Amino acid sequence: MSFRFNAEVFKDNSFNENIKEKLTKALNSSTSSSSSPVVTRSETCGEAPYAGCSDAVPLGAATVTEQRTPQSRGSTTTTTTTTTISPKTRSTMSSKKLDILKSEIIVSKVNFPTMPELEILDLDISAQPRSLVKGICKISCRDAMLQIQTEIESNLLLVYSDYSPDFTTPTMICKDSFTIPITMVFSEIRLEAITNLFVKNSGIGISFNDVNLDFKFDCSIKILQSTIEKRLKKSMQMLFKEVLPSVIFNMSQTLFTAEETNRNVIEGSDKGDEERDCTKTVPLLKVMLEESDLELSPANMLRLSTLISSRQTLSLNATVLNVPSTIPGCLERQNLRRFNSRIPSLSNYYANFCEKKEKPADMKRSTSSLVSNYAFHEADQNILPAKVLEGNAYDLKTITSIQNRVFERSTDENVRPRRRKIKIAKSKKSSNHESLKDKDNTNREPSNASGEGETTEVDSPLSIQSEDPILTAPRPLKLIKPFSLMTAPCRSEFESRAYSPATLNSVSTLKLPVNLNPMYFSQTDKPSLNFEPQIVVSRANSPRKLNLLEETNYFNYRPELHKLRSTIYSPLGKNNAVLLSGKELSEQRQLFEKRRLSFVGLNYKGINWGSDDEPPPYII
Amino acid sequence: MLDYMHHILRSFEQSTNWNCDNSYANITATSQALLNFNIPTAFEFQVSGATTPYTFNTLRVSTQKILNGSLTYLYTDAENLDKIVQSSTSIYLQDAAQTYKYLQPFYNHKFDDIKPTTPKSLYYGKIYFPNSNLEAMIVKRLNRYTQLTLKCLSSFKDYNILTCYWQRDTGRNSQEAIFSTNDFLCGYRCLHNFLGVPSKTNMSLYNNSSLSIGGELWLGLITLSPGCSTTLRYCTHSPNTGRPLTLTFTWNPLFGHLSSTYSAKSSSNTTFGVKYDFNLYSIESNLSFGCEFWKRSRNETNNSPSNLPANSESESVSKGESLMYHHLTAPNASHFNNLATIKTNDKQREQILSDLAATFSTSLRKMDEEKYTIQQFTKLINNSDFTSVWKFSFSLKDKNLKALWEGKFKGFLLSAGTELRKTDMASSIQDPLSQNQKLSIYPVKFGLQLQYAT
Repeated sequence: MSFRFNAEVFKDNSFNENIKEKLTKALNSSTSSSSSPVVTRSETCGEAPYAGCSDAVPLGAATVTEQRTPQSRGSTTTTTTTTTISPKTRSTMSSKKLDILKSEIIVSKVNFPTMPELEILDLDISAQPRSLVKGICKISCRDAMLQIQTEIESNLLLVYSDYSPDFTTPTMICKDSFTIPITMVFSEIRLEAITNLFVKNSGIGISFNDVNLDFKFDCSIKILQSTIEKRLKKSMQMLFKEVLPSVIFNMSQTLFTAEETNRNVIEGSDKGDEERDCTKTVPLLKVMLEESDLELSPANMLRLSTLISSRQTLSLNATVLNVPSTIPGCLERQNLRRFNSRIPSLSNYYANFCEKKEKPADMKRSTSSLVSNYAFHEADQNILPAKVLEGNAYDLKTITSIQNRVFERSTDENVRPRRRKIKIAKSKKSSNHESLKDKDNTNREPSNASGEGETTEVDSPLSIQSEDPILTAPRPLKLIKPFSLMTAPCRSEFESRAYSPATLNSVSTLKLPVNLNPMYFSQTDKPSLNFEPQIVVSRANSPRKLNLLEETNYFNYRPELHKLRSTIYSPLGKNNAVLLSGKELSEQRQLFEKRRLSFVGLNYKGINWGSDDEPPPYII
Repeated sequence: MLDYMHHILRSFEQSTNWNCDNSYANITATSQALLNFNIPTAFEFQVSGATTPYTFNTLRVSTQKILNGSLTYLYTDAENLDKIVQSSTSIYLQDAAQTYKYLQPFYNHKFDDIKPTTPKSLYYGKIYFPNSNLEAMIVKRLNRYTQLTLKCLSSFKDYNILTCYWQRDTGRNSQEAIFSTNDFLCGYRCLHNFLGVPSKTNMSLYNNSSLSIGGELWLGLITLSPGCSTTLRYCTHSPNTGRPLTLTFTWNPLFGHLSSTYSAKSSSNTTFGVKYDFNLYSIESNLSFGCEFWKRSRNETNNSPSNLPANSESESVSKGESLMYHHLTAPNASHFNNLATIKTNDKQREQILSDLAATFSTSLRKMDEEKYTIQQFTKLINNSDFTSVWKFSFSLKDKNLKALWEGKFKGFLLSAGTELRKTDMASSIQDPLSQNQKLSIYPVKFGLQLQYAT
């Protein structure tokens, strides 16, 4: 999920002025003015708020704050007018502090040619009382430019003698100030940061984990350039670790408390004209809040949370690496395609070959209302497309490595790899496969237990088959009734062929990840194939029923499924029913027999996070 | 107005025959006193006194937001200090106030009458309350030419600074090495006085002008901040009126800063000073102007003309001692007597002397006239009883005006002043309302100081 900033906002000229004014104000505010940080408008875009206040570091005072500026979202247009700043702050800053700045810092140019991006990598919204939102965001900004002007005192001895006690300072004759104007240009600013965000009732906590800030620095005084740059780099760490989070938190606190008062006002008044009250109180907050900030209310958060929780449906193995999921075993639907494409399989590797070929097949399959995800055809089985063979485009070594990896994903170490046996009717192809077999006799190929001989008869790309944990999208099709289990895994074409060709189409559309359902294999192995026609019929007759309950059942049995994961996801061990021990089978059977309806949602376990000692099932 | 303790320090230096004016730090003191005089910043009251001939103390109370003050103790083993130190009732205002100082290089070519003295020292301590800062100072006169000064400051807020001054003053040359623990500042400064020898170009026998050149070098070791400057000073008296004038020219080669001052006493109760600054690199310039107006007491103005001639004759000898050109003045009578006793029979020599006097009589008379006018003027100033002084100074670049009134009132030394500054243009742009309604001139500081010393 990523946000795009409103281009209109960026082109607005008043916005430019606003940004620049706030920047200069922030740069010139005296030390530790965290009580009244400057709220840039960037937060209104749903972004982490940035505010500035100058630091106590003598030389770094200017530089540290300049660091901050790239993050405040500027304008796409370049503005060259300089803003004037009141010198009153200077007169109040008469404390004994070494300060070589002789004038205010003026932000003379701001340019953001490309719009900054905010990508939300992960968002957890829970109804927990303490925190509302936890999320991981990626902030990126490119090609920004910033020009800062100020004047510095070059006679450091004068600075020294001005801020030292008179008694011990020797009198100097050369006490003449000599101010030099200095211009610093930060160009090609590129910021990429991964931030952790916590929204709580008290405020927003943010931490910068992976900050990548890069810029070209150009100083009008060349002698100072290297030292300033060095200091900038040094202070950057502190800025992102301490300054920014604290500033943001302090500022958000004011926002949140302000909202609370607003809420109180609303509650106190009549319920009926709540909306009118809202508009009434908004002007009060106008100073620090833009209107869109008000959308960050707990009620909205709750609404969002229900939305999010409805998305998190599909359980997957948490042990699978590189899967963008935060809740172990859960995969967000929109990530499914990505997930499937990463799974090692031949069809993935030769994806561009099979693309065209699969299209018509997909059309055929789409008779089922259930199979709606177009990702299905892509996330197919471990199939080497015919085109590859025809075009001689395959590379045996890559195939070997893919198959090896497929095998290694299996968690059953005791299983002896089975050599695949392929009989091919056509001599041309068989010769190919003979050679393949000969060369790769070490190739451990999990093969379909019952479908060995038949595959050869299929004049199709299914020359190499392996059952891999490829998921097709909306299909935790499991099963209201025990026998409905059978419906799902009618994957291999030899099965459909074994029965009436009439059912073939409807069944083939239901191709499920075979390995998702262990029952399938147990059933097929024990010669209970006579169930299949019934199942197919029932399945075809009652798709709606399944559709309704698929998720409930899925969640209902999730804990057990969790346990089973190891067996489920080992393509070889589980696909080969022969290898399944009887004990395991019985367990699984039992498991699926005891099913009932249950509540849909995040808290499917019946445990409220936060109320328990158990940590919430996500990792931040 | 000088503090009482400052006055004691000056008295100590006077008693040990140390000339603090002969230092590079004070090379521009004349114009500084006219342009950058101190203005009290609060209501302040000081009571001072000499408890014994060797110990002095001061109690100071001031109100600046909160009531604070300080307590000062001073001990010295210098002799004759009680005769030099004066109470606030008896001190002349021109001695107590920072005013035009005719800095004359004061070195003695007199026959060595200064006895080799034992090292004299001065100990000074000042504690502030309520913030408990402590200032301490030790001045040690090591031998005839050198003096060591240690100043240290101790406070709870990380300020623990020690500054050492090692000074060597031979009259003609003055050298000073400074080290401060604050920033590890090291400094060296020296001052050289050219003798007013009659040369081929300068035909006048009585040369009252003096030329000095000096320089300073600074380096802060921690911040590596350098500093240096060099200054040329020329002091003279106008030949007709006998009024002193001082010209200085300072150049800072690091920052390209040039500064020239001209200060003069235009009459016995008015002084003017002008300073022009210019920076070679930034082409910035500044013009400062300062003036003083002294007011005599009424009874003194009446009888001063009658007193002056009498005084001048009687004091002519004593005043001569402080002059630098003893080698040009006629030798002492007593000294002559000594010579005469040695060579009593040498009648010829006496004859030659009288002949010489006769031949150079015209020039000698001229010289005497010049000398007389100068001496008369200094006497007029030194002996006049001033009651109050107004000081003004303003600077074009800083847009400020300083005003200070100092006076004597029934044994109290009073000092009241203010500094006015014009508001900056930038702020008036910021809020145009204030530009029209508010005054564009506001006081930066103002204060009143009261001193009483017994």
